[in-house]
Amino acid sequence: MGRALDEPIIELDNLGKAFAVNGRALTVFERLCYRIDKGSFVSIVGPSGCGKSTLLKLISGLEAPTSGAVVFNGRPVVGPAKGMIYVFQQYAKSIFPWRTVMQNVEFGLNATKNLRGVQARERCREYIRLVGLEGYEHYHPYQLSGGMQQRVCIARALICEPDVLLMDEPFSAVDAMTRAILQELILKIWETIPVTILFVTHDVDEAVLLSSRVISLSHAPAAIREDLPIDLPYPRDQIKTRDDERFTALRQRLFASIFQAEKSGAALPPAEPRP
Amino acid sequence: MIKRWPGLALFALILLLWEFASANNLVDQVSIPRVSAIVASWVAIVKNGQLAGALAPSLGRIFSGFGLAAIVAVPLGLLMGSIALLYRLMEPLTEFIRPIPAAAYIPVAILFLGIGNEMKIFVVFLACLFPILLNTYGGVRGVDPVLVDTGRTFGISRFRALCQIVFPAALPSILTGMRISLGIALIVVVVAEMIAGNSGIGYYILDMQRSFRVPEMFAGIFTLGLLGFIINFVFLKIEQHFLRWRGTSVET
Repeated sequence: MGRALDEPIIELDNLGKAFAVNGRALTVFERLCYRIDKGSFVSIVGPSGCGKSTLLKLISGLEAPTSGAVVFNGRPVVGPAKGMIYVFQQYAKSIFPWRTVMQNVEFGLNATKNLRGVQARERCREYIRLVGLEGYEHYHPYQLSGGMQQRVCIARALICEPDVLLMDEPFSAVDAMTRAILQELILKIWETIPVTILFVTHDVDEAVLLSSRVISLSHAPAAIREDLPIDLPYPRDQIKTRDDERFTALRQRLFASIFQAEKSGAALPPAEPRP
Repeated sequence: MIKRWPGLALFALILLLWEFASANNLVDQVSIPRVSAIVASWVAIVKNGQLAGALAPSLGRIFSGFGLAAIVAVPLGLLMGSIALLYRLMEPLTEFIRPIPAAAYIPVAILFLGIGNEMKIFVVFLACLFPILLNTYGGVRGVDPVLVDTGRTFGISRFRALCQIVFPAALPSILTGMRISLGIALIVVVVAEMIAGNSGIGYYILDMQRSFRVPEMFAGIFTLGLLGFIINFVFLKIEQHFLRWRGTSVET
């Protein structure tokens, strides 16, 4: 599918996670196994509270599993892994408000690369161009719209040249039109840069439009209900791809699956602790 | 600027009433002299250098004590805010010492440090320490977890995260602590100078009262008001400069 290789980059090996909620253990995952191919664009969908974001946090190493392991490039993940960058849903809280666009992107560069001076600035400009923020280099975040702030966060992540980009509902907090434009942007990026993208979303259309594969999780303790290859041709397009009969069929199938899961689990308490 | 006029008008009205009351002997003219007499003596002590001579040592004490407090409290607060063990270790202690008015330490400070500059700087230092410390660790603990996780996902070291993420994120709170402590420093230095020693604006005010030079005494008191206002104003400007990335004005 697309340009995914038949070579694993991330493997979930009997992954388990439980939280202590009011003194009792709440299992989010149990013995979860999965394999993500290098270069693929995998979306994770599922009913609200099923642990999609938790799964992404475990993969990134920001949170530790209770049992099992995440294997990244053949090595178990212990702590935040080099080569994976997490892009947060709350871009306004993730961007550095005291830094300009340029300086935010520079942060990513300095964190991972040994590049200084003119070369570094040139590299930053390149990634700022990539996300379409040319001309905004010296703006502070408060002067930018939400969509633009998320673009900055994406550029800051991409400049690290990560093997894997972990995106946690990155476009759920922007308006519909901005979301459509950002979806096109991330498609374009994935088609030009050799990066594997793991994308959590609650928007089935978004998952089908972007991904080479969609996995749908069930209610906690979450298991993979559905693992669906999305055989729509790339390059994809907001208008043409959405018009494709195959698109409609795939989204209907996924929607039905999640809707069933949502209804059957509606009476259960949420699996993720609400901070 | 227009919004300030009502406040300034009230201020002017009160001064006018004072002038009128004193001029017409509605109040005791000796203890409450006319505003014009106070202004006249203020101009006189500005011209003959008496006021500058009294202010200079006080300002020196305020800024040395404040500076030392900032040097100690900001790094300590950053560490307390980011290392849970240190926080649990120090927090009860700071919570106990904090409510004790710094002026209460003056007698002890006199025992150990005498009545000179060292004692006064030390008392100002103590008074400034806690507002800065509390606001620093409060600010650090209030840093959004998403921001902290952002640093983690980029794989930077804890020290680098402290300097590049936690410190700037806590800076608004740290600067607020500094501004509060400057206000307290002014109070404490005047008290310390009135209790012991023979220099500074606090001593000057007390000295003028004892020698029945009441207009000069009031001139000194008004100078304190002006000084407090100027320090606060200048610090607000500094705060706005460092926090211009917030895009909004600093809360006063």
